Amino acid sequence: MNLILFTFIVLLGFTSYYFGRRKAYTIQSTNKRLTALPQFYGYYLAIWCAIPAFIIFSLWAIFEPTIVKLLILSDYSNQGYLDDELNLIYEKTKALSRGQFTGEITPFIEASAEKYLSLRSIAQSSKAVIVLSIIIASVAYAYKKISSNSRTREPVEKFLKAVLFTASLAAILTTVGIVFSLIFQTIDFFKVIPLFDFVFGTHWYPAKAFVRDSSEALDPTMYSDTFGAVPIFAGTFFIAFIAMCVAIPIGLMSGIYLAEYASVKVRQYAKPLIEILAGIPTVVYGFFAALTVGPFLKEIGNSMGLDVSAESALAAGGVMGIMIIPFISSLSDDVITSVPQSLRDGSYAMGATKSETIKKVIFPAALPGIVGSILLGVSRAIGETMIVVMASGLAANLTLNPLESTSTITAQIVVILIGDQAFGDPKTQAAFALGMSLFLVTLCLNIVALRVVKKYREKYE
Amino acid sequence: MNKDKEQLLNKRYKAEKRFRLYGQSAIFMALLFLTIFIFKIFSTGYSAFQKTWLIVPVTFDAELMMLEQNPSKEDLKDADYYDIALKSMADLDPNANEDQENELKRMVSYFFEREIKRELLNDPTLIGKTKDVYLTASDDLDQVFKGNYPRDLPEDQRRVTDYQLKIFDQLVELGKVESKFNLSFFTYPDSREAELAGIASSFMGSIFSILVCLMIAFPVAVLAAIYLEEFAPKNRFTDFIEVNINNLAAVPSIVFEHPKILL
Repeated sequence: MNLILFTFIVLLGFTSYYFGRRKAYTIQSTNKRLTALPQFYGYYLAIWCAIPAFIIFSLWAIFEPTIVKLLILSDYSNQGYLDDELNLIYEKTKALSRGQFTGEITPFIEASAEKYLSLRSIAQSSKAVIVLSIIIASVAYAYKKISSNSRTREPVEKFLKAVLFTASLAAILTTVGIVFSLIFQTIDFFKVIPLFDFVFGTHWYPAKAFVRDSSEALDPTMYSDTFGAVPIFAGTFFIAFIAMCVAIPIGLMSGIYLAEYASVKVRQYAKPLIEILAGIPTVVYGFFAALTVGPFLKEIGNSMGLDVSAESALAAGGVMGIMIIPFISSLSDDVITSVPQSLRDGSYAMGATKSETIKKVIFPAALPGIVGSILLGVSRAIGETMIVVMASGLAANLTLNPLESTSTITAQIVVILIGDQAFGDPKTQAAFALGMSLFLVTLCLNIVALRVVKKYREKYE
Repeated sequence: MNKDKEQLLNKRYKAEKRFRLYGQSAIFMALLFLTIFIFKIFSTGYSAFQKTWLIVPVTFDAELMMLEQNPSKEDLKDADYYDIALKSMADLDPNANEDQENELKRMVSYFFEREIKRELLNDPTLIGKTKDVYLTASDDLDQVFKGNYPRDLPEDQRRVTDYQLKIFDQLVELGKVESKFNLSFFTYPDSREAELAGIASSFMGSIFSILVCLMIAFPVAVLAAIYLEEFAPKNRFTDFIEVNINNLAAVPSIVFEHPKILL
């Protein structure tokens, strides 16, 4: 039904475009001057057809279910049902009307289902009538405007600009959406667990706090000393640190080499090859870390008499570092090549060698950009999930020994959200608190890094 | 004095060379990681593209299949293939006792019944005759045939029994084990049984999610880019939009999973 209506409206839009353009030609044939190119007359009409249809469709999508639900449940008011029970009744009704209900069918629900179906069909047909009549009215209005040869290009362009603007708002809306989806659960979490315990506690055992029956009263003693996030924050930054120990020297030096030393040919091949490293899915890296690097490190460690866990922070961090190399090398390569040639020439004129020029002139000039690229790499390392989940263990472990297993924020979110979960349970809410802190940390890092890189670019442009 | 200068110059040239070497070795390291990585993945993974088949003679005994005379296509579809499948596996060793027959059955995938059925549906004239049928070997035997299975472990520590190995070796000697391209890897859905697992359903899943993703991302992204580059005034608000867009690209993907759970 909706699809038919939709196709019909699209066809209507095309025909109104056609009529608009034809009208323009007839105006032209009466030797009047047009105010815009003929197709703008068509666009104008088509837009007047599309906008009302879009508005009514979305209003209907928002209000129809709630109104239908209210009407159905009005039969059940004054019978002392709880809200949850009413919701259940409504869901049963819907399922029955779709023929998917498998439970016991009571006459009440059957009546409701029939009412539901009739309401739906009324809603559908009234929607079709309303949409079509409003479209016809608005197209007629627009057609009159065209006939009087009023301006059409400006409104059309204004409309297109508005569409473009809305598209650019999508990024902000997504950010707002993320924050909103996280914040309520996070607040609930901090109602049960004091912020102080979360930030400074050193024990993280979320599984301990799992309640099977959510109607059970929350026992605060159960949650004390279970949600201390220090070990996982420490693990996160520790693994990120190991990753950066691998990525910064290799990435930076290859960036410098590619920008300053490499011949065109080497650069042409080496750069894309290194960038392949960034294009490999992280789950493949995780595989590699867990099945190759981890056991390899364990074997080496054992032969040296060290006790190495098969899931060590070193394996995860090292592989993560390899993944981040291209981020740093590409960005710092770009940054270094955009340092003006005049700075280099000046340094060579003073008799400096190439490496001296790089170390004393180019590096300081490019430093902000390089710092920005490193910060982006760090934010990448902190948010990396798959490698850590697969290669670095899932138990929070407060340690600074790279040979032991540790866990990170991202891995803990995965652990919590893929297991048994119940809403309103501090264990589930903990995942949202962790997600919120992860979002905030990476947001700060990204904003700082992007600012730094941008400032730097403006300096030399 | 001159000598000092020369020494200094030498030192500087050496530093120059060293620095250059650092750069080269950094590139070398990065490319080395890439090579190791790709080599490791391919050398570990390539054998999954071959699949081991046992060639087992199957007698299409109409009585065992509960078939009447001159069965129609429908009858063939509804016939009971389990018994002849079991029997043809048990016939690999005429002296097998009941336990051993069970072990024989477990040498092939649990799809063996359907593989036999497919053979008969392709050629209904086979009823009453015997034909060599390709049956998918169990994943353990597949690994044995590829040489990846620790055969020298004590029997109670591995899933393949000595008896199964003995029969399998006999089959290998008779040339009744064959390795063919693993086509089912691309056409089967995922499965708990490694020998029957394929990527077809997950591949379709990936394609669909890419499609949905493109349908949303492509128009919105292009429209937003046109607006920001061509129309937008340079002010704080558009700056804010740009920071937001860049930030979205860098937010860890796991943060995006939360809204999915809420919806």
